[in-house]
Amino acid sequence: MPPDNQDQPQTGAAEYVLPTPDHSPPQASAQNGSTPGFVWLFFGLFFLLGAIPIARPRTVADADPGPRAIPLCLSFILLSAGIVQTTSHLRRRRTSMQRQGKLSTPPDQQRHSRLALGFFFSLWVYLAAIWLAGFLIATILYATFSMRVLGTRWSTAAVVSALLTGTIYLLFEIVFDVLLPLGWIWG
Amino acid sequence: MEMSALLEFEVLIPWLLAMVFGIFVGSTPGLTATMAVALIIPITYHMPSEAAVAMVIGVSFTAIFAGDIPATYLRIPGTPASAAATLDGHQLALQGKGRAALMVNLFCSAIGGLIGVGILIFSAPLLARFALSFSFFETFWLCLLGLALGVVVSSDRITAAIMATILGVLFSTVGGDIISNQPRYTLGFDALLPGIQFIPAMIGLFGVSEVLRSIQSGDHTSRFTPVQEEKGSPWRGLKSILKYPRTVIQSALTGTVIGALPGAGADVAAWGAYGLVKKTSKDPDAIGKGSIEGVIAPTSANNAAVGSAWIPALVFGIPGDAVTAIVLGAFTLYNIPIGTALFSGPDAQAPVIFTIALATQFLLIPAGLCGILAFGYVMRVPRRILLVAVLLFSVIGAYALNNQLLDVGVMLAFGALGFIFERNRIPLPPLILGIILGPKVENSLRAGLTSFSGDLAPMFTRPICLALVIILTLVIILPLLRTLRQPSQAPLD
Repeated sequence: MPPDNQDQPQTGAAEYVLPTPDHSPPQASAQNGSTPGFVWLFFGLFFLLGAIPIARPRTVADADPGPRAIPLCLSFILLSAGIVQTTSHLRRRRTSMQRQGKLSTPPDQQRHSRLALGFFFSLWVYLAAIWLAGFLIATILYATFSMRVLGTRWSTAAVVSALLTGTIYLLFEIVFDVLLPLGWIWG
Repeated sequence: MEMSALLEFEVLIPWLLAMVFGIFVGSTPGLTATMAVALIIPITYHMPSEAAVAMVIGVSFTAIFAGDIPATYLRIPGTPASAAATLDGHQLALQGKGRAALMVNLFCSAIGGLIGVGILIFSAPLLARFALSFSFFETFWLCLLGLALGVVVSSDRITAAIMATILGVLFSTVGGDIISNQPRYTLGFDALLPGIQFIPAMIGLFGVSEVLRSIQSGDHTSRFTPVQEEKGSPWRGLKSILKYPRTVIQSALTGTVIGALPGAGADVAAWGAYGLVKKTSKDPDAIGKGSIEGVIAPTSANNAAVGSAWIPALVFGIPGDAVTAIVLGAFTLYNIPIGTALFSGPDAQAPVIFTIALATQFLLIPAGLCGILAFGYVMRVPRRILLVAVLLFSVIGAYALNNQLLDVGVMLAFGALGFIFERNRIPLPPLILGIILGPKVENSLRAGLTSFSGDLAPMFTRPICLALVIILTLVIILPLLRTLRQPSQAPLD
């Protein structure tokens, strides 16, 4: 668990400055990773395989290319771009690794990346918990644990979570009449 | 929507509260104006349409201004549109003139917004009359032009932008085919038959992804150190606006033109105006070192761009930027028609929207003043708590649309996608434009081919079609030619 160093009061002045700024204009150089290629490859394959079973209904006019034409063409382009980009990246990486050896990621960055990944998966667990135990219980528990993981004290996390959940409940369930999930276990 | 309803408390109070919310989100580094709009929409579902429209318009303008507050004090742009404002604004803050710079910024934002909205009011009805002569093929080419502009304008990574657009169009094909009702990519979920819900997708792309990015970059542990503010009235900065009226108008007009291009948005507008003032200023060397002109230019331009982004959005349904794209999605929830019906006929609702947009510029000044004065308090909310709050509001926002958890799943999936896009600097606007314009491109092409019995000639021979094809060709060819001329400086990807 992270240390309890989070709720220190900020200084009273209304203006602050961060010591190491980073604000690049939109033209900043692009990161040249393999991920974009994999993204195009994954979605290209998904949409191409999904387009094949789309049937052409008899009601569609002869002049109409049908519901399959555009998804099929576009997914083929996406898949092709994915294959080209991924293979060229892998080839480049092999060459650069032979020249320079493997580059390592700083430990702090690794920890934050793992935390972000953990957070993302915890959101799916939270979603399942809402379905299972209902919005109120799942949200209070999820908010408390996630604030704690990010470094908030247990007591602060519990109080803020209860307040946040209460506000959301009042706003949506009472004011806007949105039926928040009750949870499978409560019927 | 009724004009008289705008003066009722049930509209005015949510409107002002939404503007305060926009100030809060916009001034919090890492939380963008787009996220502010995406998060406010679930609250507006259950309100009268006048209040709902006032809230989303109020949030979009105030959040863009509020992004300049941390840009000035912290050198961290609150929203991407404020990045250009960090340069001179922060230099002025270091000289103890932060509050004065923000006062200039606030009034320039309001003036820029007024100019942008003024041009919207003048040009949109004219364009709407012109749009009456459009058939399926004209709509097809226009939407294709919107997609192409989105690719060219939004990024220097052309290949990535093209692929993002294609992916967006593919996402738009999920659900029942609008012509034949044939299910596509629904994976057996009946709830996906109406297609991917746009608002949960946007909340994921801008809310969840931003939270993940903040955690991944360790922003949740960041600390701020104070800078001193010089004594004296902050109003003294306002005199400088009168000293540079040309810069204000030039920047607002630049912002208006750039903002109206699909995919460009307020951030590109701000950089465009900043670049122009560097060329036209009498003292170009001072720009970037704490010049008031360097504050005026981006701040006049970014709010003007927010106004002008509504021109193609309201007339043709082609959003100028991500904020407008989300608002367009919300308009369908409020049953507000887009296109010519908005400007003429018994259901013409454009005058109410224009009035709200104009009034928002005046309300921006008191709301912005509160934001400048309250910024110290905003910064005291620990980011680790704020990020969790954003996640909770994202989840409830996605759920409240249709009361179904599947929308939350869609939001999370798009959150992951947005995170991957941001990390790899793949532009998001082309993806959003693809999702919005995809159905229009496909349906207008298919309906056009059906109505002309498969004849392709009218696609190129009808006068407006021909003009659009020529513009589209130029939009595609000109950047390619520029790239070929400077092969070593500007790689395509």
